[in-house]
Amino acid sequence: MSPPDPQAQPEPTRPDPMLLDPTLPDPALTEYAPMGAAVLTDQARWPTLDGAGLARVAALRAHPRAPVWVHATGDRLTADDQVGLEEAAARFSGPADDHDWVAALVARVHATVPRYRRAARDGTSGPSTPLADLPTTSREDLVRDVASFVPVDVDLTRVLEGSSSGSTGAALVVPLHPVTLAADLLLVQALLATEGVRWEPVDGRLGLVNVVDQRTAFTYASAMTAFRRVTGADAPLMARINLDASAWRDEADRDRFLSELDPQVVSTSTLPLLRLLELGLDLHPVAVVNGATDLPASVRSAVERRWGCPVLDVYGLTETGPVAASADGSGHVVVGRRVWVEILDAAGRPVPDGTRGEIVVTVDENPYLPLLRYRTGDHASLVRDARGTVLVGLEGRAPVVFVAADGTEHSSIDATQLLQAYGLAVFHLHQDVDGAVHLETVALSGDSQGAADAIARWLTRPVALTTHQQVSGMGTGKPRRFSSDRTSSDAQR
Amino acid sequence: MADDLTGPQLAAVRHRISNASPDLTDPQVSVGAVVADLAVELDGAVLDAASLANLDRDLEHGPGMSDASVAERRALVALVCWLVLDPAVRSDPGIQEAAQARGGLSAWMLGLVATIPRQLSGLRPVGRWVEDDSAREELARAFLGAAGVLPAGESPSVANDRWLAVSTAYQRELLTAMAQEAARAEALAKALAEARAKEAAAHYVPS
Repeated sequence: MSPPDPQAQPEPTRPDPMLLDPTLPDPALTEYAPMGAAVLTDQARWPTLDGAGLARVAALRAHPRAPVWVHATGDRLTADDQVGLEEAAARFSGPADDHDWVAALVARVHATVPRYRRAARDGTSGPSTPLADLPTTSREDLVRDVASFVPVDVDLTRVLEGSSSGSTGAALVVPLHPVTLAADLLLVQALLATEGVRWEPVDGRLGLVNVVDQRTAFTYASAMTAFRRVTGADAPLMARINLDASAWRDEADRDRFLSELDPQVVSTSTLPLLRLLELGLDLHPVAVVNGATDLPASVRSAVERRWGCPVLDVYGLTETGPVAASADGSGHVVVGRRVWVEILDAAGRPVPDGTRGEIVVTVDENPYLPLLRYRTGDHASLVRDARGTVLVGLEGRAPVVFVAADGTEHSSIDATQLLQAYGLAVFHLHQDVDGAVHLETVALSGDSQGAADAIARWLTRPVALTTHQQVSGMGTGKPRRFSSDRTSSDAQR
Repeated sequence: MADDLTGPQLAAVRHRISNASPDLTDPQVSVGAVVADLAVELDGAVLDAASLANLDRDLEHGPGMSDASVAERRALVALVCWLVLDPAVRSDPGIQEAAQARGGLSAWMLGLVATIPRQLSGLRPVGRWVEDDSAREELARAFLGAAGVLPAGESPSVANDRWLAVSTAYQRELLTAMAQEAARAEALAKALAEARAKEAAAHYVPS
């Protein structure tokens, strides 16, 4: 080893991003530096908007009570995209159970998608293989090699980066197409129209607000040029906002921004929705759209009591897009997209209708990511009735097993029923490796102590209860309702 | 099912190919006459005018066809005739059954002389089909496959796997496909890494 060179300059210290940008809550979150990821011109963000339309977006951004926008993004839709959007709109209003497209998809992917081309070359499957005979696809498959799921004949110049954090495992980069994303808006429009919701642009109101509540998040203002409206009407505006106080110059700005712009549709997930309800603002939404997390019945009721509007609970994943929706809490009806749902048991075998199993989705809406038999990790049973194909008892996470004092195993599905019976909207039930049980709840609704006592009786174990006064006490990120440190082998001992 | 018929040993067919006389691939050989004589030899059939016209069309210059290409097709037809002429081949029970299913030995043979050149021409220089061990295996497997039989001792899946392993056309297709897929994976990673992709677009429903 050579001696240190006294003339050598000390190695430059790596700049601390916290010092570079004091708005960052964590040095690892540099992508959330305000406008750090915004690179396009507004014309490129909304190619079909004229000067007046762009000026309306600019005015929204410059609203005196606006948040500190972290991002700028548009819908990227061109005039040529209208054809694809019209086709999507027609599908959404058509029969949801039409699945003639599945066989065509199977044939197409064997010619164009690397994973299936290889299978065809190896002779393990081919263009006429029945869907049920194809292997399932997992999130891990996509994390490992997403390119092998992207057709080789699709133009990549429109690709957008989507990401999915999932409840476990590595984050997944999902290639998305502008038309696929915009079609989600048309789907919501179609579903709300079916519920009799009158959603027409109103001057001075936001058409939609996408609400999150987390330590850091991309926030932006946009125009919804895909919104179906009468010819000549302006595209309604939307905003993605973060309820967290750190996202605003002044916390009072948040309340006034929302109250003044009185969004017509609130698109959010359970925890931000509860927080919004807690704020007690004078809002008049025509509908609330919930996604990403399970929607407890008590939250649906709270919205209906407060705002007197329907709540559309949309089930889907970034990888698949929307799969099913529930307007009344009695099952999620598979939507009129090119989506086909199967329910499989733990061994990957189809189960009879009415039997619980894993939701497995085949979907052909995103040209960059047609998916065949994608295992969602979520569970439900499937019934077919006058509404179409319906997912019943949707549980947005794989059931967790809890072990009672006598060693018997109990599913978290039982716990869901139990906890919701005590009116709990937000909770986290956890079992340590030694069997100790801890229940976290939020004080705003339900009988926390009653629920804890019920769990104690259910598992014949004492339950430690922590009740937070605010939703924020539950922590940030996608909430987990159930967890256990015990492995299967622990459970079997 | 014809696919499950078992024919001669692959080694016997390969050996027969290795014994083919260089004269067979001589451009001066009248391949049409060889085929016609073989039909008579097989079951006394005299080829009708339509069959002869088809044969001539396959063996003569067509639009855009090079001399080399014509020579190659003729040589492959001659090699097929050489294989069919082998008493061990044409008397094989599996071959007999496959031929019966196609209307007799001469009709079966005409199918072979039409199929094999279409399948193999352009893949290797003429002489290699006899000289190279791997080429002999490819020709032998192509011959038995087109003849409607499996090599003796091989299951359909084993025969298919071994065919894919030696098929020049398949290997070329495979390499092309793999190169295309590797290039696409790179292009996708590049496209997703571009700032315009990372700016993404507005979302309307949380997922």
